[in-house]
Amino acid sequence: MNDITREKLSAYLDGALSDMERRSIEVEVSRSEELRLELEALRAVSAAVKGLPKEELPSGFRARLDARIAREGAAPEREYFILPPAYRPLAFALSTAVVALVVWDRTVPRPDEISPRAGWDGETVAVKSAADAPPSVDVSGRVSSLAGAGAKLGDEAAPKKEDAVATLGKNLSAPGKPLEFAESAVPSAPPPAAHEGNAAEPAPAPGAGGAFTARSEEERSAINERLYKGFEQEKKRMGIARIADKGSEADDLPLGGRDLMALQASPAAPKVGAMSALRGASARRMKAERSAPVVKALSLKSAEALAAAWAAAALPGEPPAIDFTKEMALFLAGPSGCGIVEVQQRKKFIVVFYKESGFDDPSARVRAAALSAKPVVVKPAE
Amino acid sequence: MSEQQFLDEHSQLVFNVALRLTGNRSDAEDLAQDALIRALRALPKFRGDSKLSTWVYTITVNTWKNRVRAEKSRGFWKTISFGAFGGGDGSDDKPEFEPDGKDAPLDTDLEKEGTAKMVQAALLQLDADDRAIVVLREIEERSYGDIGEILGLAEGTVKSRLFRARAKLKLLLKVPS
Repeated sequence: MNDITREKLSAYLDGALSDMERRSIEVEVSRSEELRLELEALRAVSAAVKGLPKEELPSGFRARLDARIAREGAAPEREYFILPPAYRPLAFALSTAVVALVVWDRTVPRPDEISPRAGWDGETVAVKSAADAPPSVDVSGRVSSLAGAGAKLGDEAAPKKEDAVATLGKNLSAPGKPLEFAESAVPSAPPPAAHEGNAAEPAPAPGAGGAFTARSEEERSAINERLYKGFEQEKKRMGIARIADKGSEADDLPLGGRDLMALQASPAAPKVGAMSALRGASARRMKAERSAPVVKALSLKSAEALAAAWAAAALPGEPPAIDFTKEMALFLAGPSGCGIVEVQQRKKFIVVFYKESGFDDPSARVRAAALSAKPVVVKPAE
Repeated sequence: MSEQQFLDEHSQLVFNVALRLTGNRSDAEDLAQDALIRALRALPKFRGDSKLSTWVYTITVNTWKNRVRAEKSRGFWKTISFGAFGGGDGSDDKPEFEPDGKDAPLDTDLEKEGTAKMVQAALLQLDADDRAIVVLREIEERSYGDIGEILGLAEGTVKSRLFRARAKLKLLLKVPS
């Protein structure tokens, strides 16, 4: 006797078989003692359950039920808690999409984003990497070749994104005054090449740093317009749309100091606005890159800028006096005890030879140099 | 149909099903009240696609299954008190009553109160769907089609599960075959 036959026996008990099946099972039962006993057993079970007594309603059942209905009401039931069932697939799809977006945003590495702060009076624009850093135009109309300072730093071992930040915001001195600024990495990063979008600027020779060229206001304006157009095209090409927050902590730093802080590679150095604007993997990578000490040189052309840089570097005393009507100051930003050994004026740029330690006098960080628009490159002294 | 009329006609039916599903009068009253209130709230939406009694059974069984699921998820589901039948405290998963003798014929034992307790205890050993199928078929005498509609099962599934439940009851009740 298989389960199919026994299942038919159960159905036979309930009168749930077709006539043909019923006759067939009756024939089988009449021929098989085993089937007959099985049928009897099933019938006994069925009778046992059927024999359970019907219970009367508990006394007071209706009164308690009526009281509960009066208390809770018997208003038509809403069969859903928040969303009608018809909307649940849509809600599920939306929530899944949001979760996927968040996971993607948190896990997929993206190109570094850097938000320049200084040097832009109004909006600040995020750029993806130092190598892609477009030219910057400051409020005084001065055109600077950002690429000259840091465009190719992405290829080098030392400062990368921080350099772009610093480079983009290089206006350390008072607006309107001629200023130039450049830096290079330790050890002896070669002077960066010009940015490809900087067509209006004179292209530096290979191996030379970018340069600022003194021009008339009209020339600057024309160049500014072309450069800004190129900048916008570059932004589109790179897919940059993010505008950095205004009013970051970098704005609280003194003039010159904010760039110095950006240049400082110490892990303890406070974040500038551009750094704090970074998120996730970008910020972690930048933190890691900040761990190596970096020495940079600033060309400062006002006493205020020098004082601000001096204060930002937390140096004791006062900076040495320099006649800014005739000279500019080269300020070495780096680890404690560093100092300038020699300054060489070369054809395309100024080379500052330095040592990372051994200077007790903080004034060793400052050297007067002839006013120049050449970029400054630092190199460790032999 | 007014609320009072609905309650008059279906309270007894719902309570009896609830009693056989839960196994004790206290839980049965709670379940019956929940089911009747749900039915009252949903009554304006009843479209008459099925018999009203089938619809009420459906609500009762679904309410019970929701409670079982909730109890299980809280980890508090301990089978089952036999308070309704005068014994047991519900702290033991095994049925309190055993058959008097392995060959004792049930039709004579049905006369005794102990047999009812034994059968109820065996019912409580079935899983939820099987128990509902047996109660609806044997006690409420619903057709396979109605049971399938109430539980959302195909008729063939009802037939095979009913056979399986009866076979298990036969073992639990030690019915000789």
